Amino acid sequence: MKLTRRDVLRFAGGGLIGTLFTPIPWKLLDDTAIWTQNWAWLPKLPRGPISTRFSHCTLCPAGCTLRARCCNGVPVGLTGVPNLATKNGVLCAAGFASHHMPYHPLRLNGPRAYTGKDDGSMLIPVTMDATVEALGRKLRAAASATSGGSVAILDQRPGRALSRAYQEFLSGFQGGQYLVSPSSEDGTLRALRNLSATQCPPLGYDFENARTVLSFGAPLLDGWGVPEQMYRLFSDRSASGRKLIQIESSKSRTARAAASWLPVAPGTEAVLALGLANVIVREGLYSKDAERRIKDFPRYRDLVLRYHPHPVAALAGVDPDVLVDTARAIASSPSIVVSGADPAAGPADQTTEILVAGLNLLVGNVGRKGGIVYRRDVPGTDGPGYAETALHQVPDHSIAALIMDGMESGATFPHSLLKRKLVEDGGTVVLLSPYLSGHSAVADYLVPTASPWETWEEVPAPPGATSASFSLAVPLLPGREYSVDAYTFLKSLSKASGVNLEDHGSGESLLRRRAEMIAASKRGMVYAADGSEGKPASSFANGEAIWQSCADGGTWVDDAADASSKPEFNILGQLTDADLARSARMQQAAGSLTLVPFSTRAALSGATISPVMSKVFQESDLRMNGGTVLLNPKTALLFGLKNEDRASVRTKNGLLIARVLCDPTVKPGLLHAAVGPLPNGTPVADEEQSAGVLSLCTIQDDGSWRFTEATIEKV
Amino acid sequence: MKHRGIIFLLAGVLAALAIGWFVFPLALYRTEPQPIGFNHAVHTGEQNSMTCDMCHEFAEDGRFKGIPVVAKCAECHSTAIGTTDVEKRLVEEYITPGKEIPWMVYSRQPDNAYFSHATHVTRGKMPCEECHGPHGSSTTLPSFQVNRISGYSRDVWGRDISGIPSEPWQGMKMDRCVNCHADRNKVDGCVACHK
Repeated sequence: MKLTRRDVLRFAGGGLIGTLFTPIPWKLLDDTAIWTQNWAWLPKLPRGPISTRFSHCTLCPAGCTLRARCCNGVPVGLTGVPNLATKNGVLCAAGFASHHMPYHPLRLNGPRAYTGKDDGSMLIPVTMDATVEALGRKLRAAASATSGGSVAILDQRPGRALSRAYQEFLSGFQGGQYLVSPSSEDGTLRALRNLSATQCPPLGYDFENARTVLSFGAPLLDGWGVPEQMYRLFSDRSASGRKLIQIESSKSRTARAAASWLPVAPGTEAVLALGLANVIVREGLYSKDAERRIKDFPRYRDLVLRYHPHPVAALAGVDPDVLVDTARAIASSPSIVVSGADPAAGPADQTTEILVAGLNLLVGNVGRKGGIVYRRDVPGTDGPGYAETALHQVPDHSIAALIMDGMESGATFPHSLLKRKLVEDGGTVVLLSPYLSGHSAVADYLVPTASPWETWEEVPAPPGATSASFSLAVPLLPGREYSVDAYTFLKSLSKASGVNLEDHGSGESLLRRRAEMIAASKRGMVYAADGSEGKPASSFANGEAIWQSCADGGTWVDDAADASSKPEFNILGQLTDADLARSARMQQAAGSLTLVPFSTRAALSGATISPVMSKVFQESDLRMNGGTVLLNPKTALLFGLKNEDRASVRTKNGLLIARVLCDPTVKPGLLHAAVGPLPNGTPVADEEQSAGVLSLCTIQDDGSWRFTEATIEKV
Repeated sequence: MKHRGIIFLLAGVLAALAIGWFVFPLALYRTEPQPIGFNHAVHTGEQNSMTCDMCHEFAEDGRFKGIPVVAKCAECHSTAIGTTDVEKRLVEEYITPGKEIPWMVYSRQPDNAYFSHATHVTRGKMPCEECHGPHGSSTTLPSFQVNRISGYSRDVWGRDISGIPSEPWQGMKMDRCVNCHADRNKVDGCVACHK
């Protein structure tokens, strides 16, 4: 029998049919899918002995204590550490995945520079030496009289030993400015210190002993301070008698959990503060000490007496009786009045900040247990330090060269604010960050620093804490060869720019030096991470012993400060009549809405969190995704919108295509826009979506960006 | 020939079936020897009457220790018991120098799969045999076969190349976990096993 081509084809066809009835295609499909999970370049979990290390999270200023489960020394799982005297550690979703950060796909693997400042400029790799040399030249030029600006450093995690080194570096430049994030929780404290006519010690909120807390929109129960502590303090109000009153235009998470919520019209907070002060002054409820410590008390009294509660309540849209009761509540018990600082909406306007600070002075909260207490700086940094200014408070076009430190750690701001503060030609911006993060877009140079878990990092006291503290984030992974230690980079920069900076070795030696100073001061207590009783710092033999305890997850906490200090204040010193006039209700054009951005710390579009967690956020609505807007159903109806519609939100600054959600707790006329995580935490390349919510916001004269007139249209 | 076409077609089908079911598994898996033989039956039989958890024990914190370390073997085998070659090698190569036995693990799962023996055995009160079968009465270790593509043990897929277990304890793929949980009305999310 002769074999023909047709026979071969039939045999092959039969083979093909037969193969479908064998495990070959199906098993190969399964095995190759598994094979792709095991490619050599994919990070692998190590094999080896299981151990436990304690450390602290550095993703936001809360600095929560955490327990790392390590496999062969590499962290593979994180949990919080409950029942600690210092921080009752419960981790947030982002913190749970902070050990993913060294493997983040947006990690910078070398210095980068933009070729220009327009949209078409390219990000190109540069060498570290060339970067330092170029920056040294630019810093010298910026410091010259002809630059029209000064050198500034934006420290996104102030209070560290490195922060002190930044201040020392800046002192080498004429008019050098040390800046902090505008959205920090200590806005009211900073306002109080700015109002002081005499030397005022550092301040902290004593929420633990407060009976009444009046919050002007501060997200106290949504990521403020150490979030778990705040929940613990306000969740058992029936037992503790602690009362939280929230003044806010929307029913936020904090407003929901508060004892009472005053849904005010946006922009009327300053007037409301004056109305509260009016009740306190008219009824004589103010502190007897206030008359003496407020140097401009007569002028302040005359001003507040013009704001009778009834017209104020009508303007703000609240019940006048509630306003009067609120005023009585804050005057009759140890209380704290606190304002603003949403991580995305930023600080309250300057007038509100001052008047809220004024309320604290009026009822004698400052320097009182259960109010705003004095604290001390970490040993070695006592005494007058370098002036600290929030970014939004520096004069416009006053910065010729800016170094931004650290990734966005819990708060963000519009890039238009930064551009406004830079000199007219844009100046030079350097970003020190492990990642290509949100602020990278405005930087000229990107310098890669070590990511969490790769280097020793200091975790200072959270903003607003009642005592200074010192703890460490430990390095459990080897540093990458392309990342630099921020302090070492600063030293190189000082050499290149001809500025004297004392050489303390590396960033680690800077921290060890701080531990030495703590030991020498013999102040405070050291609390171990295992929850055992604290030991006095004086019982430690030397700084090395304190360092070791902190390296094992412990925390040094300072003693209470001397409460006898009686600084004097000028409340209205900086306020003009024009400021007060602006504090009246903002005018809203017919057919328009008021855009109010909001977010939660560590869940910002600009912040870099684990891609796994940003995906969870995105899919779960655990936090609103960036590009989601909330409207009152009545407002939505007026604009022909319904739930889950897509709509274009337009302000004079740009356009955003957003997802609409109807929420009856949003005040009519408001458009709450989430500044939340985007897919994988990365900006979307889509042209329409590229304008984030913050880029739509209008920067006011005082640098705040809370309210912007906007329109919305269904697409 | 009248049915010549059909014959070649069927021949192709039969050849493919033979290759797929008999030759393919031989090509897909390679056999690797265990470092040393082990007789479970000697340990668990009447003479010694040991239970599984005497060697595969739980730590005080509830954690399952898995395959016993050589120190555990040394509790009885610090000197050779008997005169077999295996016993001699055990003592000379591993116990005396204190070197761990590099066992090939039949059940090694991908890193993204989490399994707690403590949850199943201690809380779920499941007998070892329900998943491991009569492994404790075996006199030799089964051959250790490695999938040349995925790198995992053949026991993860199951001894039968069809993936259909011939015994209830065969296979350790996700569908087995899911089916078992469903049978017991244990509803879990993804993160229960993929942490």
